Parts: sequence; C-alpha cells; structure tokens
Amino acid sequence: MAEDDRPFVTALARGLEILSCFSLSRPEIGGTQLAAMTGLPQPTVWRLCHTMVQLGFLVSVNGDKLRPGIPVLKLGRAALASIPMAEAAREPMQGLADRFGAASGLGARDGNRMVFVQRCICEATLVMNLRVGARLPLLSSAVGWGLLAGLEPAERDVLLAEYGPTDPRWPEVRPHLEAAMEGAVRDGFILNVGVFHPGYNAIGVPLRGPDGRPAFGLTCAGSASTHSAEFLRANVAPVLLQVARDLEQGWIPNCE
Amino acid sequence: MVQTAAEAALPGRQFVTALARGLKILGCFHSARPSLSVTEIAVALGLPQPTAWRLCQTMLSLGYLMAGDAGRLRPALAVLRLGYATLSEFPLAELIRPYLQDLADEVGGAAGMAVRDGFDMRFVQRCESASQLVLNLRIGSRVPIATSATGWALLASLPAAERDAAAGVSTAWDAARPQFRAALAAFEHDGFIINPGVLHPGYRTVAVPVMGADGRPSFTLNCGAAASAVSAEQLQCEIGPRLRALAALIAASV
Repeated sequence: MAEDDRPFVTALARGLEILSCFSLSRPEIGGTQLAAMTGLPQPTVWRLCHTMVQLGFLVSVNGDKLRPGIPVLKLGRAALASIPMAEAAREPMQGLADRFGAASGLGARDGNRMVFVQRCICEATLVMNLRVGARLPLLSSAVGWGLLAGLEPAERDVLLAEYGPTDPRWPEVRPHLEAAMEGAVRDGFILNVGVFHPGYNAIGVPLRGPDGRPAFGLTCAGSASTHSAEFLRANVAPVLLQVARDLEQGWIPNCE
Repeated sequence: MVQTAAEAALPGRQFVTALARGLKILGCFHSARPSLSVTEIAVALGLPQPTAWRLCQTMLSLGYLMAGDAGRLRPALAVLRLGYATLSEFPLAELIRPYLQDLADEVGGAAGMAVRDGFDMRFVQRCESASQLVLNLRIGSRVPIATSATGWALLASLPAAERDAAAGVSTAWDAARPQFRAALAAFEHDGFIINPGVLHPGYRTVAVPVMGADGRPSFTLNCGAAASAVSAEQLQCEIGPRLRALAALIAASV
C-alpha cells in the first residue's frame, strides 16, 4: 500500500504521543526517557522531537531536556473555546464560590480523568490549587463522582470495570464511591468527604445535556475545617442544584 | 508525502512532515473558528484533501478531534493533554525562561523579563549565558526606565504623552532623551528597541514590550551582551526579530 493510502498516519500519532508524555509532575523530559516512555526507537523519537522543536511545540531546557512550548497553550485554549458551557457557567460558578467561600469546578471526562474546563475560586480561601486544564482522577474526585452519579448504573459499571484496574487507589476508594452513588439516588448530589484529598470536602452534581446524559460534573469544595459535610448538605446543596438546573435549561450546544 | 513550499523551506531531512501537518491542523482552530470541515482545513493549509482527511481521521481515532453535525470537526478535550495541562500551571516568568536562556546563550550575554516599578523596571526573570561578562543583575534587580533598553521598550509602547512622566524627571533622562528618540524612530519600524550603551558603556541591549489584552504594556523582554560579544548587526538582524516574535507568541497564546 502506498504511503498516501494509509488511513492512519503513524508519524502523527507517535508525535502526539510524545507530546502527551509531559505533565505537571513531569514537565521536562530527556530524549532517552521519552523513548523509554513511548517504547519508540530513539532515532524515531529524535526526529519527531526535532520536528516539534522546529515548530515551537517543544523547547530545550537545561541543555538536554525538552518541555512543551508556548504554542501548546493556544491549542488547549481552542479546545476549551469549543465548549461554550465553560463560559456560560463561569458567572454562576463564581457566585457559588464567593457565596460559600469555596472553589467551584466544572469538568468533562477524558478517559479515566476529569478535566476542569472551568474553575472559579473565592479569593483568599484555602482551596486546592487546581486550574482550568487540571486532570483529576475520575474515580476519586468529586467532579468525577458528580458525572458518574448522572449515569445509569449499568453504564457506570462499565466505566468502573474499565478504569478501576488503572487506578491504584481503586480498592480503597471503591466503598466510598459506592456509598456516594447510593446517596445521589436519594439526594441528587454526591459528597466527597476527604476521599479526593484528606481535609478537603466537596459536593458534586451531574450537568446533563439536552439528551439527558451527563456531560459534566459540577462541584463546590472547601477545606474540611470550614466546609463540613453537614454544611455542604444543608447550605450548599440547594444552591448548587439550582445552578445546575439553570445551566441545563439554558444549555448551549457545542459549536458545530 | 509531497512537501508544500512552506514546508520545503524548513530545514532538515529529519523533519517529519506528517507530524507537522497534524499539529498545524490543530492550530487552525481558535475561539472565533471553533469548528472546521476537512475541506476548510485543506484549503487553509494548502493541503490535498485526501491528505487532510487522513490526518484528521488519525486524530479522530485518537480522540484529539471530535466530529459534530455535518462532519464538522472540533478539537476534543484530549488536546489539553498535549502540554496545555503542564504549561497552564506555570507562572509566566517560568514559562518564558527557556526562551530567554536560549537568547542569552545565543549572544553570550543575558536576557530578562521586567515589569514597571515606579521609575524603574524590575526584573522578574533573568537568564545568563556561561559568559563571564554580563551586567550584574538578577531577579529583583532594578534598572532605570530612563536609561535602560528594557525601560525604553516600555516607553516606546506607551502613548507619547505619557512617556516623560513614566521616565521621571532626572538629569539622566534629559541626557538620554535624544538617544531614546533616535531609538524610538527605529522601534516604530522594527518593533524592537536597541539601547547602544546608555545604561552601561560597552553593553548593547535590545528589548521589546509585551502588550496585554488592554492594549497597554504588561512587561518587557530584553537581551543584551558586551559589545565585544555581540555586534550591533546581530542585535538588529537576529536577536531583535527573535524577541519580537517571542513577544507576539506570548501575546497571542498566554
């Protein structure tokens, strides 16, 4: 088969795989390590990296390492811009954050991760340092649980079966998640009390699209010292549920 | 794959054209144009339609693109894995550091990022080459707006009526003003400003303003070296344009 007839362009897939090796915990990686992480031959990695350096998507740091270059920010922002709900939710989320001295997050699922597409925090408050683009585990975060709570149990079980084995915390988290899902049937929201992070409590709800399927998880969270489970349940829950209903009714479809 | 003319201009047979094209496809999307058809992409990049289709198909199958109604494509959340999640958490001064280090190494001098602080510019980032002969400045150091390249870049980006007030009344400014005016004339053409040694004799520096969304200068970037290390021509023809491109990249992306 001639090269131009291939439906799948391997060189592109490999380059994107290299670019996705970088993370907040690993912002700078050397060529040898990239080869080890991707399982690609070193000369291949070198050529792909060389290409991305030429285009500015990777930059050299400290002599022998690489890290993503500024143009990746533009790519990410374009991806976020294609989700109008992220912008529509900002004002009510900031309202939630300010009213309850908390942090509010809106996340969509990318595999076994929840990606914050909006994040609003109250100034000078003890909250987790997470921003738009942050990737939280689906199975242990409140934003993940909020989304999962909106799924039919059978559909949820498929995700849990698929991603449970990929999450080292799964055995420990599982009973908490199951209890939270039971609570959601009764309450319409989930509480994540110290499971995502010790001393940090959150409440989450699903945000459904017009087809009735949960498209996002929406959360409100704060330090356990100020945001007890009782406080979240009694004070925050009614407001959070109302915000979710309002956003669902004013649903703006993704750009087509 | 056959290279387009723009690709052929890029150096090296080690260049992986398919990867470059895929990244350019992702770069076609922006907030004013959040979704595109394969045909629109092919036209925008000057690619044959089947080539654009294969590249898009690859990114669809990997989850980097999503298909909506009428086959229009838009970037998916997985795009945030491609470095965005890493860099979006970086403070700006850290984000820019590798670029400044590269410039500093290039000239055998130093490069920095500075913000306005009274009648001074204060460095919030500073990278030096291994060369011994650089001005003794570090993060937190200040230089006068009136006499430094980095200060001149700020002045050049301000409305003319604000410049004297920003530089502050001083004999140093009175002495420097004619040289600033000459440099300003070049700035209006070049987009960068060169200080030929007013701050320190025998030290040449080029600087650019980085503009914020409000149309005001947010901070400045500079790069300089001893006159023995860097020629006026190198600053004018290589370093100045690179700083200008960096400023534009930051303004467009951050």
